[in-house]
Formats: sequence, structure tokens, C-alpha cells
Amino acid sequence: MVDIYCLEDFKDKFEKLSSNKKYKDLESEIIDYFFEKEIADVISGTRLNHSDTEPYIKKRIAGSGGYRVYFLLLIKKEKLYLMFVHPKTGPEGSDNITDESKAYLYKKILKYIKEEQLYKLSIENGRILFDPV
Amino acid sequence: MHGEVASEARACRGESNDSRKNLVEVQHLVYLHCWIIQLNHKIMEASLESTLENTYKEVRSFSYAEKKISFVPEEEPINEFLDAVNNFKSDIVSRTERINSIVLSLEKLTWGGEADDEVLMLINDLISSCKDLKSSLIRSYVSTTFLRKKGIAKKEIKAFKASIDDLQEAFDDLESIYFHLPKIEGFTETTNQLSLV
Repeated sequence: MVDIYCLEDFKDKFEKLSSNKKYKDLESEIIDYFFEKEIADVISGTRLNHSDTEPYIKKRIAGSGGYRVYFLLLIKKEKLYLMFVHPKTGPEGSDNITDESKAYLYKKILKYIKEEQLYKLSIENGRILFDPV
Repeated sequence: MHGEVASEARACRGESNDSRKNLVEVQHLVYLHCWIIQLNHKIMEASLESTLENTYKEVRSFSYAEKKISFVPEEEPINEFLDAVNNFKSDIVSRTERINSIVLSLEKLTWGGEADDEVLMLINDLISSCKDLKSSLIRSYVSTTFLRKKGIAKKEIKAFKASIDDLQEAFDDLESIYFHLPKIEGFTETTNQLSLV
């Protein structure tokens, strides 16, 4: 089973979106796709780097007009790092994030993994909990 | 005695004459009354006949009109219209599926290995073709405006537009991955460092 962590960027955006009625399905979509899964279950989407062992992935969840989740997989360690999420539609919606933002998040996750400035995610009563590492 | 009798007899006859007169009058009255009743019946019958006839004419005329001019427009043009809508729906669903299939193929390309110049050139050609395809698809989408406004195939057209957006996103990402992100300072270095974590 994959252990799930996240950057503060993800936590902040997730909490902001989840408080909006328009995105009330976000939490369940994240849980359904990422939690209690094996590596093989989550290794799909668009790979943004060229790494086979540490793929940086952009995943479409909840369909075309749903959400885009950016995450890193450390396959050997069976760890998954949620880096950012944005909806495609609605008041917070955007088509994509810039290449600079993708690169910024990528560099940041490396730094924060090294510094262990992350949150570990778990589920309690169907809700995602964020515990500082 | 006879005189009294005769007198009584005359009196009786006189009374009898009065009674006969009365009877005749009553008979006339009864006859008149009957005639009036008959006349009334005839008038009523005439009125009934007239109403009957008018109603019959109305029903006959309405029935004929209903048979000739249907409430719903002619079946044939409607069938042709519905066929056209169904064909359009089927066509746009097929196009949407085709676009979604291309999107998945573009996603799969991101899982390939490092690309040399020859492969990069092919990827560049592919991205150009995708941009060209997207322009054509957008023109097709715009041409559906009048259908969308009329609420025809709304769901199918919406899915079609979403698939075009996904196509745009997929070839934009492909371009980023192979041409832009590697040029951003520290990006490739981060990949190398992550392998050491």
C-alpha cells in the first residue's frame, strides 16, 4: 500500500477548494483515486519528467471538467507525494498551470522531502487528515 | 201528469242541449290543446332536427378535418428530422471517442524513454498536426451553435467540446515535457537528485 504525503501547497489548495460547495466532491475523488492503493493503481496519467522510478505525474480525476492533480511517486519506497490540485471549471478553475509552476513544484518537493517538511495523509471517518511529519 | 212529464222531458232535453254544447266546447278545447301540443312537438322536433343536423355537420366536418390534418405535423418530415438528429449525435459521439483515444495516446507518449533529435522532430510534427486538428474541431464545434441554442444534442456537444479541451491540454503537456520543462533551470537536475533520495 502506498503511503501518501503532501506539500503545504496541496493542503492549502485542497482546503480552500473543499470549503467551496462547487468542489464538494474533491475529497471523495482524492480518496477514491489515491487511498489504499498499490503503485500499479496510481501510475497513470501524464508523466512530466522522464523518470521511470520517480515519475512526476499530472492526473485527470473526475473526468474532463474535473480536477488535475500533480504528484510524485517514489516507486521503490512506495511513497506518493501530492503536490498541487486545481479544478478545470468553476470559480477556481483553470485550464493548466504554467511550465514555471510545474518546475517550481517539482523542485520544491525534492527540497521538502529532504527537509521532511511534509504532511502525512490518512483517513478518519471518511475525511482526509493532514498530520505534519 | 203527462204535461209535467213532458215539461220535465223538455227541461231535461234543454239541459241535455246545454251539456251537449259544453261537451262540444270541451271537445274543441281538447282538440285545440292537442293540436297545440302537436304543434309544439313539431316545433321542438324541428328544433331538435335542426340541432341534430347542425351537430352532425359539425362532428362530420371536425372528424374529416382531424383525419385529414393531424394535430402533430406530418410524420415523414418529423422522421427525417429525428433521423438527422440521431445521425448527428452518432457522428459527434464517434468524433468525441476518436479524440479521447488520441488524448490517451498522447498521454502514453509521455511514458516513453528519452527522445533523440529524430524522435523530437516526429513529436514536434505530431504536436503541429494536433494543433491543426484542434483548429478544425473548434470550427466544427462553433458550427453547432444553432443546435446548442435549440437544446439539440446538448450533452453530446458538451462532451465533444470537453474532448477538444483535453486534446489541447494533452498536446500542450507533450510540448512542455519534451521542449520546455527540460530547458527550465534545475528541472533535469531535480530528476537526477530524486533518484538519489
